[in-house]
Amino acid sequence: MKAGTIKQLLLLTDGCSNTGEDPVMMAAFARRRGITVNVIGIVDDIQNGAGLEEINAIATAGGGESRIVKAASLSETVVNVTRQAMTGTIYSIINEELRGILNKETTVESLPPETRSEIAEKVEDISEEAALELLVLTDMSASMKLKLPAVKEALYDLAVTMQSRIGPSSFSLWTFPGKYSAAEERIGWTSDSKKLADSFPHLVSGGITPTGPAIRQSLSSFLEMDEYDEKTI
Amino acid sequence: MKKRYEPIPGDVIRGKWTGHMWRVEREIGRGANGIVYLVTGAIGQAALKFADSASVASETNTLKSLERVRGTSPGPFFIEADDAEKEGRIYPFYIMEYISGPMLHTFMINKKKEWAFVLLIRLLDFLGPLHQASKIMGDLKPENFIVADSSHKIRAVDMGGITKQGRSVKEYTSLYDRAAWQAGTRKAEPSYDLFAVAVLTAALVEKKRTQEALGDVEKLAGIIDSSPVLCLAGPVLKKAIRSEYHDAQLMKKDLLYCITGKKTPTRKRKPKKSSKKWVVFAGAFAIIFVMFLLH
Repeated sequence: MKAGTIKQLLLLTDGCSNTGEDPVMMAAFARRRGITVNVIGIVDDIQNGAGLEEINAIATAGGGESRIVKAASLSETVVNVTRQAMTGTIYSIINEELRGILNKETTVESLPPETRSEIAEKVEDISEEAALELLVLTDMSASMKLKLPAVKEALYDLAVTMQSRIGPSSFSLWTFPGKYSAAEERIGWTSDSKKLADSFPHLVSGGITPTGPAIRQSLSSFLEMDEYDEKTI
Repeated sequence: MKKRYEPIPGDVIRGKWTGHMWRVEREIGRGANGIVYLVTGAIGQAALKFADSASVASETNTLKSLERVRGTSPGPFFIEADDAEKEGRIYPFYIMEYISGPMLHTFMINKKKEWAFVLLIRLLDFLGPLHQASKIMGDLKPENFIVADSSHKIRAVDMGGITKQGRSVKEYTSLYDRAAWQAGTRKAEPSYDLFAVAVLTAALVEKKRTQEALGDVEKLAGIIDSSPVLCLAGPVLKKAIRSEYHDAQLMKKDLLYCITGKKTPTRKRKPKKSSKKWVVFAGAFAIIFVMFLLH
């Protein structure tokens, strides 16, 4: 199998969306366009789960992973989620192929353990060599203020890990709410991990949390990139 | 998050593919990607790990590849992989050898701090063959190792972080992670592991100060210099945290010179065999010497 491009959107937020269209719907839309949506909820207290159901729902609809964590363990979580979602994407492609060849019920898990081990080896190779396009969409509403240093550190960490892979990685950073729109692009596609963390904004931008519209808007970034590719080919 | 199958002591787990039965005795470990239980089956005691299908498959591969390294595995021997079926859901697991003994940090309780060097030597013995097999350990934390017998041989009990050299490290813990200290990349190469063992040694001796210094290697170097125990191996530890060691054997050799109080000799043109013998003697002497100090 030739290594293709894995596209992910990583949403970092601390609560519930409160305006605009349903983020779950937007995540489902992203998934249909081949983009996996992962969500990490950053909370002060893990027991207090307000708005956390939405986090799980967005990730499920987006075919990705979700976690609820405290700011202190954000770095490790961001890396693990990205990695697991990459593996998940590759497995879901394999499952689809299997269903095509065998029957509707077949998944990798219904194969004997020995066969699964062989598949796992291939999956690891692919996830190491595939190109990764990762768009980070960060909630900058007022309540995120104290968590921003942890977010910055986590993004630096993530970029360092992804750049240690064999395959190429590119990153883009979006924040929401934007000044004039639901979300705004802070850093366009770059393969420079330093740029991602260095130009991370320090100021929060407002009280509303338009998660749905923000996802919709940031997705344009992936779609433009595709169009651009087609033109150059 | 995915649903886990959490059996209680006394439960019997039946493997879907082999038909083998495993009776759960107790939980012995819990990590980010799975839970390990002590179980009894027809072959006697073993360790059973539940994890997601992808992790089971990939850890199975790692364990099998380690057995190819040499007759004795630096990790647990792999026994079999299977599935448990409960209420229509499939829960993949694998069975491995049960290694008993204290974890590194438990081992250090009530012992003189100098024991950290014995563990470091043993860790370097562990890493040497692993690196030669083009793999790195990745997640080098005290909880992942067991002091297996009276000769203080160390074996790994969690293989989740083992990564092929040249790739990006699969699993790590911030405190022992080179990138988290902003001292280099997270690329799987011997110097990554050798950085981690140096921090691990520092943490075994000066836990709190090392944790507080996380992110600042210069501070860590300061801790090594100022600690009456760590400074005995100062030059070696500091060289390791600068990622200047690429070979576990060489680091061990330097460490032995260091703690026996001899300066690193300038390399003379000696026939290889005799210099090797000399190292073995120095090693044996150092271990006896350290043990003597501690008793």
